[in-house]
Amino acid sequence: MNILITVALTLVLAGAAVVVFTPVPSRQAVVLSVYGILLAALFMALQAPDVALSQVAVGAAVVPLIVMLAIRKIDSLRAARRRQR
Amino acid sequence: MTHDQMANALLPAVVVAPIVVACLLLALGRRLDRPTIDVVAIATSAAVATADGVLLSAAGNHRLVAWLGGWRPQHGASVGIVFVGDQVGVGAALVAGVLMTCALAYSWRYFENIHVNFHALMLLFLAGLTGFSLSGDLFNMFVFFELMGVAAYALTAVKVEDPTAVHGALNFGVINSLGAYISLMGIGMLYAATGQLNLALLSRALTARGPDVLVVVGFVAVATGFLVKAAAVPFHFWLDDAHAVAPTPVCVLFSGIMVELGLYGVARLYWVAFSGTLEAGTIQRLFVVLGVVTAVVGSVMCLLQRHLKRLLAFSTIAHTGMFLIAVGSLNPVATAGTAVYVVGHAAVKSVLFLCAGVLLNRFGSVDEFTLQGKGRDARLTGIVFMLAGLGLAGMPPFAVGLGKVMAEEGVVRAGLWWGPVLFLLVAAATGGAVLRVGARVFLGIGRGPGAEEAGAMSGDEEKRELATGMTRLPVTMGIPLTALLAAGAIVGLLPGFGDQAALAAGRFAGRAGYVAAVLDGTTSYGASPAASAGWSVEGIVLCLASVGAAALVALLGLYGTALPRQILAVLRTARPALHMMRSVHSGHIGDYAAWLLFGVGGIIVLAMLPP
Amino acid sequence: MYPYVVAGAILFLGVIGIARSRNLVHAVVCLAVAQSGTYVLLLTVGYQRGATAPIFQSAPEKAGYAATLVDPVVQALTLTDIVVSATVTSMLLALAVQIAKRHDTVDPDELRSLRG
Repeated sequence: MNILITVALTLVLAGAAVVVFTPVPSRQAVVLSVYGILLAALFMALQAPDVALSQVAVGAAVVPLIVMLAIRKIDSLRAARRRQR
Repeated sequence: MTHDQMANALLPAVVVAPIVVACLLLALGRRLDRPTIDVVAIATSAAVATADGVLLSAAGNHRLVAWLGGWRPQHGASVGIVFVGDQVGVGAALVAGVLMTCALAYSWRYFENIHVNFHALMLLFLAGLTGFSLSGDLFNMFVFFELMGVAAYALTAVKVEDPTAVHGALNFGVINSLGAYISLMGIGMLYAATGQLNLALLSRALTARGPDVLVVVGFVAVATGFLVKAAAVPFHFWLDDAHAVAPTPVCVLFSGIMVELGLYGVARLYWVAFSGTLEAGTIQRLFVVLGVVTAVVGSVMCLLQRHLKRLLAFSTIAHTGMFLIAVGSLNPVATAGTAVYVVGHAAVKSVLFLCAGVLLNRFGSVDEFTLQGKGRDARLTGIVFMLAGLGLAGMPPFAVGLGKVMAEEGVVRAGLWWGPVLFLLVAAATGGAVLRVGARVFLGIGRGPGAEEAGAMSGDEEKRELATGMTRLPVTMGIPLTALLAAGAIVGLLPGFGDQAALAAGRFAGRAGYVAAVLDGTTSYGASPAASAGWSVEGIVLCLASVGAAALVALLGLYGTALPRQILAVLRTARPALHMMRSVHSGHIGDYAAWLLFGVGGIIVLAMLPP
Repeated sequence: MYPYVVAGAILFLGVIGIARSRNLVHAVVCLAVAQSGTYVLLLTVGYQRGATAPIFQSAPEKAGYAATLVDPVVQALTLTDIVVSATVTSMLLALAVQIAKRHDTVDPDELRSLRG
């Protein structure tokens, strides 16, 4: 266990707290992406470069993208409902 | 090919075949018509069930062990995948296969607007159930746990246009995923402690290491995840939501086998890997406390329901509580009783769900009061429903009664003298609730809803699965209905079934035998003391007592409002407590997550307290 | 000890996030955060164990060389886990979209269909 890993762990923990306590989903998607990169950095420090790579692709890019798409879809659905009324 | 080689080839095949067929269906589905898809799915499922049957007879002689691709462990480390079949594991797989075949046959005419996705998901679900029962290492247990989870969430939301269905599926998905992550954390801790994932190697390493905090917390975490699937209180909230909204054939699998497999996972993990390490008294206390709370909450909530499927869901929770007590007593006879009980419960509970589906498609509701008297002319469904209700209460010769008597004997031997009383009350409450609904719907008797019933979730919201009401019962729905009911009775009458179950439970609990079979290849069971368990006069009397009590509960439910005013006033004092218990089941995902946290804390305290 | 605390705390934070969430999309993201606790745990376990990867067993064992290798088994587990996470997250988000469509809200406090 070295300093680098300890620092990375602390950063990840802080990142998780920020994601969880960001109430607005659209902002949360951005924070989640940053959190994904923090996790990937931790994985590099833990000598798991292949996992870090897939984490960057999936955790920092694809999942936040899906979250953004879901938010868009929900917003447009609710806007359409409001127009109907 | 010898009998042995065949069994070892079949063991992975029953897991892989449904996955392959599911993928083929998904790939080619657009070009196939609905009957072809139905036939392919039913045939696959029936083939798996038949293979499970062959495996079960082979597992009666010795343990079946199959290393995938021949990756056996070397130098005490293993990265290979191993499937292990003993009678309990293969038996669970067989129950899954039979229920799946019945559910798929029933779905043929039950659904109008389903596509190939439904069949593919059902087959993936079957693969998850089977793989979990047969898996010999911890990580694959997790993988199959997730596979059955993801398939189950998707199946719950098959009726995507139903507002309650998507809501229930989301609650189900979030809570079960959290459970799976807690399990995975535990797996990580156990791996940190021992470096093993294979159950047999893990068992060896743990025995050498002894219990320390890491090992205890690891076990508790893995068990918690499985208990979420087993719907132990306070992790049970997803179950009644999911059952109330999932299509009826899917409920059959949820209640009949998926929930029980959660408990099976805990028992397998304890007996194979931890029985030589952890203090038996602590484990017993943990599971018995959880079991009692689960049984009580399940029974009370079951009595308060008017939504038929939700009522059946709470009945399943109450039964899980009983199973938890019986398995947690760590007595082999009680474990054997649980195995018989699970088989019997799977049969009658499935029949009840299928009847609920028939009512839904005919009348567009599963509400007890809306349906009052409507089922008078549905004679076959009515008779089957009432018989299954009696079976649920423990009526001989249904296997439920045999299992209950054996479990009662076992828990008494383990020192839980109050066990039979609780079991009787739970059987009376859950059986009585079902009989009450049956009498109201099919005989048309009984008074209107009391104050407490009136406030319950109504069953009128449920979307029917056909565009037009179905008046005649199609053959493909009638056969599963009657066949499962008959199976529940026949299994209870099979000569020597109780003895075999007692033998199988002893083998299931034998740690040394399992480890030797997987690691050294000595698959024979070795001599075990002759066990005798079966119907006795005393057992029949106990069963009839619980049936009588159930009839009383049903009568009270039907005519409770006609009781003298003084008695009603006394009963009314319980109302705030009942109301609170009901309002806890809020359908609110945040509440459920908080309860999960509370439950994890409680379990850790129970596991850490000195005995 | 520290990595276990961090991993547990991340899972805990995720559950807390779901418990006080006012938006289902937010709850699903919190679930993904909860799962990331398992990656942290698994990978630090693999790092601490420092087992020799099976593929390197024939490599010349220099002093201290084996200790710097990490356990490949947990890395494989974590990779599986990441893929599972993405699948579950996207499925649950799809359900959240359907809930928005059918109930016209994604606030758990306003979803009343499954009470009692």
